[in-house]
Amino acid sequence: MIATTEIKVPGSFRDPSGFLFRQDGGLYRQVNQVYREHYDYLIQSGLYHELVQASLLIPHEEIFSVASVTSNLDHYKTLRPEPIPFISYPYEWCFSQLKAAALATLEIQKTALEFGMSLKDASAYNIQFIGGRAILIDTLSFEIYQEGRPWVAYRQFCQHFLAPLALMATTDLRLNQLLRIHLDGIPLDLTSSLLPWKTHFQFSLLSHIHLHARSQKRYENVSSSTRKDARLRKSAILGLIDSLETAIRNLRLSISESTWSSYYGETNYSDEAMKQKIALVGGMLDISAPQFVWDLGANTGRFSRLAAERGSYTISFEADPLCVEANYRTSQEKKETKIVPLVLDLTNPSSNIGWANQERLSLQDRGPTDTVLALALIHHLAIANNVPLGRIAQFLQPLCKQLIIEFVPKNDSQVKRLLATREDVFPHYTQETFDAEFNRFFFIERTTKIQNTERTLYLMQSRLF
Amino acid sequence: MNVPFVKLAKGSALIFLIQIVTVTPAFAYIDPGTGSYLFQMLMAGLLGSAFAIKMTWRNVKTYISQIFSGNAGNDDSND
Repeated sequence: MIATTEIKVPGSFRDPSGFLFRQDGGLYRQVNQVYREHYDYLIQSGLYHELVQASLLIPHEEIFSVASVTSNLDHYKTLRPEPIPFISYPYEWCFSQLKAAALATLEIQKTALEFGMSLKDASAYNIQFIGGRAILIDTLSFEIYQEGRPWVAYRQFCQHFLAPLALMATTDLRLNQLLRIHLDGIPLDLTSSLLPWKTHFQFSLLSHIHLHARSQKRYENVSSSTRKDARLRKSAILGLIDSLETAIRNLRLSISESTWSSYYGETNYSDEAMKQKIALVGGMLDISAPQFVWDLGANTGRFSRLAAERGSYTISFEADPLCVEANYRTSQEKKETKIVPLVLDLTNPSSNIGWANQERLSLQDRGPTDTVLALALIHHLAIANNVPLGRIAQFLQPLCKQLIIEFVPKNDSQVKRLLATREDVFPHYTQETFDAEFNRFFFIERTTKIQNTERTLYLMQSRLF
Repeated sequence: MNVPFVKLAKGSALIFLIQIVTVTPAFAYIDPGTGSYLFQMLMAGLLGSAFAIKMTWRNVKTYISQIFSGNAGNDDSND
């Protein structure tokens, strides 16, 4: 017998229907015997085909040669889902991404009901952005619809989608960060207390958030035996879903056109210097020819697009949620399939959280990627955030095989601006120190001065890989 | 649908809503499941009827616009 290495995916343990595991480098999903009837119905009813055709569900193939060695007794089938280039989490999405994920979930539920099934989960973590689309990745989320049964995922949908979207649209765009603390969605009583009073006059928010939260508190001590008596017609569930869809569609960010244009236009480069930088970065991307790119500090994604146009699947990270919003809207307008804009603060990147600190992965544990772009970034980390250059190099080393990084010296106008309001306690922020520190962690392969600027572009190779 | 039943349903819904809005906050451990369940039963009941009316109205509009556009076409051909 050939020895196999198998790891159960740590975030896949709640659902008794099955689990994800890695075996000999491949990612598989086991369908357990207990889920047999539902899985067969999903396939035979045509629902699977319909959702895959509509790009709403991840395609998979059934594999007969692989089975989990750890849970063999429960085994019904092994599926190999189409590979997902990068797993992102709802607290890393901008407003429009969360909205797209919410609408996709409702569309899936409506289609499922047409085919005699229903979503048993409405978790935002089951949705991923692949090829520019919000797609359900948990094939085992469906159950056969039982006439009269309410939608079991209603509360979860409100907590995972409606609550953060309502808070972002009406209170503060940054409040989706509450999803980092509340992994099963933002509690409705908390949402209700944070929403402005005027939302009591919006029927959808009054009902699905405020009164819903009140109902939860009012009946928190009522025994669950009272639940099983009542029945709900399918048309009532469709009415509920229609109401949720209207609520989600009506939530919009109120941002002026001038704010958007300032986001797109902000740069301290002359046209000539920008052209040269684009040519230089493009040339370095051509040399490294990465399959995957992480653009750190991507702003609205100008250089991410340079990578994506060359065929690299590019994750475009930026701390400013409005930049990410602008980036995502551009990617949707242009129907781009190789860019995923995400919100990420590099001074406090996503960490391992959830059960046993293993459920949702840190940025580092989702790497390494082929190439990291770190353009016009170093001064923000070193000067605005006081991180020594050596620590920046140490942080970047395990993230990527190649690094394309721009050094921005103290006499650059942007750095001067940063130093204008703070004491210059950065005597080691020099190009010589930068070279020496990065050389400890990377092989410096190319350096090029960007004409008409004070900046230098580097192509480096990690010493780890 | 008979009228007394509608009255009873409306009355029950009103009492339920009053009970919900008059509750005082409690900072104890919460099992939100039951409240969510009961709330969904109420809301879906109300929204289901509204949805049925909405869909009927949409169908009526589609039907009328089809007749209208169909007639317009016939009028043209008759002329």
